[in-house]
Amino acid sequence: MIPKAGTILKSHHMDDATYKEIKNDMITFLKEKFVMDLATCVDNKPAVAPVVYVIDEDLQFYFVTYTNTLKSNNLIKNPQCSFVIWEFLKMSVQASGVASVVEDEAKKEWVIEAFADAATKDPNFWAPIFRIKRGDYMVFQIKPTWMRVLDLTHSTVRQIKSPFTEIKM
Amino acid sequence: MSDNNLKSILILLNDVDLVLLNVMKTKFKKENGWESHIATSYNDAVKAFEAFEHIDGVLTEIIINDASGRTGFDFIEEIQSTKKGADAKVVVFTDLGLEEDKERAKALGVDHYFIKSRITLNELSQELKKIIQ
Repeated sequence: MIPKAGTILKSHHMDDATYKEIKNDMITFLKEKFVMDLATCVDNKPAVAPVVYVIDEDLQFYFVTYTNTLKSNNLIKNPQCSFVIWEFLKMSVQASGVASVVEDEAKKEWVIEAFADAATKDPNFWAPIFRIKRGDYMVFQIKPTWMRVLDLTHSTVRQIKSPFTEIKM
Repeated sequence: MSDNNLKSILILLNDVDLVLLNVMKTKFKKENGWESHIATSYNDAVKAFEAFEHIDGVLTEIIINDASGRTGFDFIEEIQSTKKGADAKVVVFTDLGLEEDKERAKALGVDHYFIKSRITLNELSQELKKIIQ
């Protein structure tokens, strides 16, 4: 009998130490990377865009954009969003969350300084935001509501255990 | 100004590009080991210029934030009249690309004139190294 799709994966219980290790690896990975693909959706029209992000110690994500960009307009109308940060043969982090505009001046200052650090990690990277000046900047925070990690270090055709780990939010 | 003994570049750009200023400051520190001071208006720039004992370079926009309409040219003129300003390398980094603007900068004794749409930040960083060090 041919098994149904998905039944080959055995369910497995993950112990706390393994979970913590995966979560720590994910945080290290997220601090190394600096670009996410951010998806927004308004009026049933999805849109995706790369943005330079930073994270804080509470696993909150932040990014800087201009007012009146497609993503900022979309997030103001519908703060629900989704994003992915990944690297081939390493890791993929998928998440959904809720975005809000950062109004606190001290927080904005922190984000701008962290953004400067992120945007200069690769000497040859130049953030698309600077290419065309479009007015005032605004800072968004994304609070993840769901997040999972996909281990991309294995290259076998199939895996016995699920490569996904859901992060407790 | 607590770090006025460090080798520093004073950067003045227009006020809407605070994010760009921060990126430049971080890049110059990481890649060239320079300390930079950010100023986001004419008055801020003058205050910073007066507060530092020594400044190696000034990188200024022409379009700057000033309630009385003064420009980067006015700022350059003001600092060039001091010994500290005359000793510093003065570089324009601007959106303005007209020949008359370049000529005016040249007449003021500006060391170099860079147009933002014609240079990468990597190139600017390398050029500044040659000019300042």
